[in-house]
Amino acid sequence: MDNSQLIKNLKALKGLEAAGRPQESWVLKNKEILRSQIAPLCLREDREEVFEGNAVYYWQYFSGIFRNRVLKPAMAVALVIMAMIGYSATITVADSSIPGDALYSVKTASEKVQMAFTFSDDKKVQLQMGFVSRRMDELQQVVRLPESDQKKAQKIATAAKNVTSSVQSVKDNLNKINAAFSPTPSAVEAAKEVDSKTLAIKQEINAINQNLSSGIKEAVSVDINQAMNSTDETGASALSVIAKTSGSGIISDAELANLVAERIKTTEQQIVFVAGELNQMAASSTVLVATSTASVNASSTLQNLIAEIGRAQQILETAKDFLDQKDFNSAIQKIQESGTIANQVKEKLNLMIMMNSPIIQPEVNETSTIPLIK
Amino acid sequence: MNNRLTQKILFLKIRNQDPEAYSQFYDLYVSRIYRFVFFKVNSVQDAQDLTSETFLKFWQYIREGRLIKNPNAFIYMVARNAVVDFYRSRTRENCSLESPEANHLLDEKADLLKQQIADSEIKDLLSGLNNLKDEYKEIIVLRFLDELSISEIAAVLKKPKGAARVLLHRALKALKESING
Repeated sequence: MDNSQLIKNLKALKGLEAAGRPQESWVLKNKEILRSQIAPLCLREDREEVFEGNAVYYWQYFSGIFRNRVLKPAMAVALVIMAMIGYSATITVADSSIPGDALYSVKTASEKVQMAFTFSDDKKVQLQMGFVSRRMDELQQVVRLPESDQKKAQKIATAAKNVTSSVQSVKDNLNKINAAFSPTPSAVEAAKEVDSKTLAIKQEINAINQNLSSGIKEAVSVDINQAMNSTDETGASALSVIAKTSGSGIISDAELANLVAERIKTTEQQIVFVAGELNQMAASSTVLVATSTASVNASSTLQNLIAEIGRAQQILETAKDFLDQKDFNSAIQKIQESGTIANQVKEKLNLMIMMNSPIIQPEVNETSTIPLIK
Repeated sequence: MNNRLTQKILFLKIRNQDPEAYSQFYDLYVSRIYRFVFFKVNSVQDAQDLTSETFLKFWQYIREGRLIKNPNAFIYMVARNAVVDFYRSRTRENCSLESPEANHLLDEKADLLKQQIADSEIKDLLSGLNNLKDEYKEIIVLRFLDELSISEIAAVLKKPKGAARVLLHRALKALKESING
């Protein structure tokens, strides 16, 4: 017996008393008993009015349908819309928050969500560069805060760390692109954007640092320096990505040469700036007095730093030679090398200032015996 | 006017404790509930008592103002609980389906079969159905004799829809095996 026949036979059982069809007499008799049982219940005083006619029941039925099929879904949609408006309003308010604000975590979380939905490395680089610009805006805002030096220094240090971290993320993605067999035109465009923006960001950080009060500058020097170093390294990575496509037609040699030249110029400015600080320190220090072992050691350290910055300048000259020969990769490598030395010298110099070395006590205004870089 | 709408209006009237509407409800459901109970207790007398009890209890629930979303499934749940209580009270009296009394009931049923069923195929089917385990028998009666939907069956059995479907499939398979020996 197949299923359909079986089901047909089962349905046929309905009419059989042996298959549970009740006796007619019992059905009628039981109905009367039931009516008599429920009648006293219906006569109770608290019983609601029984409506005559069906109009009221139709109204109840259709209003129930309206409530369940129209009103409830409409309410659900309205709630979803309100939630979306609430979410976008929160995000908008959070966008203007700075480190330390209650909504700052919302801002960073929304950025993480954006990153999670971005899949190509070049798009990620562009998006992350946007986030770096935001971190720079935050740094600018924090610097302008009307707070005590101690609090402000803490906030500047946090903002500078955030800049470092976001710039390093850009660098990581650029390295991924660089590891690819050949960067795509869109990746090169992203790298060009990073190259120009990192130059601007470094200048901006430098300007911020110059305008800080001496107490704050000292307190945040390590973090600011790290932000500048990371920006430099990221710019160099971007340039490496661009240089990799040299000769492929994506970028002309002339354009690439201009970009490398611009980077050489910025590194040179940095070297000159650090050298200037070293010279200034040497000129105003007590090292000439050389009455104690500490000052002799400091003099020796200062001499080492001046020698180091001189080496950075020499390496940068080599980079210029490579650029003349259109060996862009070697030129970029030398720029990076030179920039790293300049940054290290700057860090050591900051350390010396922080440790309150006798060398930074501006007591004597005599000429230094250390050869100065011009 | 379609049946569904008529039924909905009837339920609304019952919710408003209209005795006339409840009489109509009784006419609609008495055969189905009786059959449902009969397959569980295998006794005409017990099925009649439990069916009466079910309809009275249902009315009491209405009077208490209990929210009944699906009266169609709810009346079966009341009947099912009444059967459970019935067996529980019989257990207390040291009496079960496997007892001599139950065998007597089956004998009584066999006599009824002799009287009423000429068609041997139907006889085999009924016999096969009675040999099934209770949950298989219950779902087959609900689906094919009382023609409840899967959602309603799921509500009566307090199971998810998927589980009800699987149970029905297994019950049909078991019934076929039982008939084919």
